[in-house]
Amino acid sequence: MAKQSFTSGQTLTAAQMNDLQTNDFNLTATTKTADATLVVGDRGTRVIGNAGTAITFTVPNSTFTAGDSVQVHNIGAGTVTVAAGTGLTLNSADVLTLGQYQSGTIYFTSASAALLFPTAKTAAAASSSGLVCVKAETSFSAVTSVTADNVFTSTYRNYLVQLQFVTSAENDVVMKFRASGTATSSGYNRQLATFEATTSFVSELASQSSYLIGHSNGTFYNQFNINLYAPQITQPTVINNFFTAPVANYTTIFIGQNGGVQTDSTAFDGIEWSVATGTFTGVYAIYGYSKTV
Amino acid sequence: MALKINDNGTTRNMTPDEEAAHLAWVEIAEAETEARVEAVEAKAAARQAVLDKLGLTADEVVALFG
Repeated sequence: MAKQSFTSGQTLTAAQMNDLQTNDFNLTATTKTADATLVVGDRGTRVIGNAGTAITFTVPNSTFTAGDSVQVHNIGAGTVTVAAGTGLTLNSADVLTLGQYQSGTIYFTSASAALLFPTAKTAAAASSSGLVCVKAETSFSAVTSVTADNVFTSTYRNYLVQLQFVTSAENDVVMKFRASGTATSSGYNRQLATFEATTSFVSELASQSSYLIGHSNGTFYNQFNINLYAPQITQPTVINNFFTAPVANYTTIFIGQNGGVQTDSTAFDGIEWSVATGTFTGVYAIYGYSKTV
Repeated sequence: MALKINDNGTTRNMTPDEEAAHLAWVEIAEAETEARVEAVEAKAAARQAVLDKLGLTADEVVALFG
């Protein structure tokens, strides 16, 4: 039942007392199956969303007073978004969208400010921290070239590429950066160090037409972890690449570390890998390193 | 047979422009590879020349210096 206002000299009836007690111990519930705006009568009660599609509960300004609270629940398959009405500030530590069987309490600190305290885990928001996949795992088979465009944006500064492939015959695989669908074929510098059994090898490549990331013997899948630093910023792009290449039926492991730079001050938005001859088969995914905690 | 490209997740034949660009790059890449091999061979030859002057085999150098 809605909040009662008693006046001086009024007789409190048993029915009123029972109604108040009922609401205290068994909250009055109002079910909404469509968008709704909370009303003053919702104070101290439970407002339940139950819709198959997403609906919105709007919290109006200048309707509630400091200390009021409203419980909001969602039992429907459609999400319930708790939205601030014009002039009202609504804050929450979590997102303002409730998935099915999730709930929260709206607590008013003034007529124009409220807090939403989720009492259960709310609907998952887009991840804003950690390593975020910007290009879902993508497989390729028997191709000469692989492109991934529109993967580097201002959302992230640095990126991790996980790449695994095997070539159709013993061959090098190279990498190039792309801008607006066009590859850059110059300005790649690379320093390499490799180790196999007790043998090490170093080499330096300057002013190349592509970035040689590794070599496949045509039999085993090679694994590459490629860190890219600021490819989408108008400054030289730094590359750090670690790779493992099993050889000789996996009894010998060829490993390598190379680092390098693409020296152009170009904002790249994509990347490609190629083989000069034959084809290669594999899978890749690209992740952005979050800039925030 | 047309070269294949996996273009943002979709495998298709390269367009004539893409194939021409790829083949032009292959020519450059082959020249770079050749230069790289020559550089390695020249370095090995220079190293061997020093060993010859010293009268040491490669194994003896490893035994001496690790």
